[in-house]
Amino acid sequence: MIPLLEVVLLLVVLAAILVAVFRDPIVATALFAVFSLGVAIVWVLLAAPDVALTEAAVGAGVLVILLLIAAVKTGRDEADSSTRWRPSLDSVNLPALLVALAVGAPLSYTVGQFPALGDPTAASVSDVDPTGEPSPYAAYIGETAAAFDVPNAVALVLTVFRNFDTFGEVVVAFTAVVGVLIVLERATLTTTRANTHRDGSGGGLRFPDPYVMSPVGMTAVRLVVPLVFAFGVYLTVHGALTPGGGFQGGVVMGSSIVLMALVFGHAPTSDWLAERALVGALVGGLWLFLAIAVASIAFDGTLFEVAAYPLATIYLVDAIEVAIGLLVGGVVTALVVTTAAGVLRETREDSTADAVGGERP
Amino acid sequence: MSLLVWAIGLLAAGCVFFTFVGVVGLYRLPDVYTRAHAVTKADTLGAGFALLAAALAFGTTTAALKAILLFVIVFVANPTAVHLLVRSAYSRDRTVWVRDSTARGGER
Repeated sequence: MIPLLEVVLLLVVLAAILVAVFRDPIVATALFAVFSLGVAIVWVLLAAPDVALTEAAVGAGVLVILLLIAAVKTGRDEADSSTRWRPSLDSVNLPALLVALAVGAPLSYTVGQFPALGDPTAASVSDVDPTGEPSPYAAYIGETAAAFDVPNAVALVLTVFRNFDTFGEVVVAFTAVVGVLIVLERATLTTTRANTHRDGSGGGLRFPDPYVMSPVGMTAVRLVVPLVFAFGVYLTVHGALTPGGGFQGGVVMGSSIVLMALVFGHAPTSDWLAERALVGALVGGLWLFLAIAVASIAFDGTLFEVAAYPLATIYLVDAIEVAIGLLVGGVVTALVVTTAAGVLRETREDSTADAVGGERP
Repeated sequence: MSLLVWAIGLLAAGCVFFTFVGVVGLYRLPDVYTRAHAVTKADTLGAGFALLAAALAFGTTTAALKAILLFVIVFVANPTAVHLLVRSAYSRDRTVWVRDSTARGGER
């Protein structure tokens, strides 16, 4: 029997090292996607499908696209393709390596202290803690999900027990988008400025983007996008019952729009997106979450005490998942579309000059 | 052995065969276009047969339905991805391999 987990972990470590030693940002990004998919498989093997879904959608999907857009827009020395595929230790930053080792060594040391996978006497699942005292963890995991009648304990913890933390995370994501909108020059979310960047002139691309206007790509995307979007909706509204939830579903919904932006071009896609819908998803998701949190006061609860509602808790879990899904979907869409279209204020002069002279010979 | 087991075995064998052909093609063929040609067909059929075998093995469960959905998605996504790859290579003026330009049994 091959130890699958160990093999995948080895692949993950190998991919991480390769990311560090390749200079070319595109190559490094592709390897990062391999790393991220490997980590997602590790999560599946460790019986954490919720985390695996997030890792696959965010790490291997949206983040890779954002990194690629950044690499292309900031320009890269594509000229010497001979060194491109050669790993080089020059790209390793020595102080960064030292910091990574200093952080990694104690973390690696703790790995030896972990209980074995599936150990029933592990402190996190046992009713006795390591010192022999009775511990509430077994009851916490075993009984609360059943008591609230929400089968997916992860969703229950995220949206009921720890919903204040979750709200904080959602606000962070919202703030990130607002930050991108402020930093990148863009009058509004969806009006394009004269399509100056459709030929990739904002960065180092020296050819009309081959991914745009490919009939095969367009047909495939037309086929796939409705399925992907529906799957995102399913993940969001089914999060209380099966692995998934607003974060995963939102990312999947957002990435279906991102897929369209990749194939049809970001400018036509952002023209097609209704600004009101996008802003509505972003702000509406945040306000829906906040409204649910505040309205629990009306039912003699405290702020964020959603268990105080005179409804089955599962409906509130669903409502909060929908709020998170709306916001996260809007965040992903707005981040990618804005990053693809936007230009840094300082460099805008240069890139408009490029746009005029940067036609393919 | 029942017919079902034979069908699953045949599909699995088809998966191994096509995946092997794909790997050999990736290793032996000279340029990006021919390699893509080998990989996309062989890989799509290989993964497709594997998923169909899995669907049969799962029987009448939702897992079988998911395997069939994956089969559909692989059949759409895999050739599309390789098509875009080749299109990108062509737009960067990657030279196309022709038999005369390399000696017989020459560089791979």
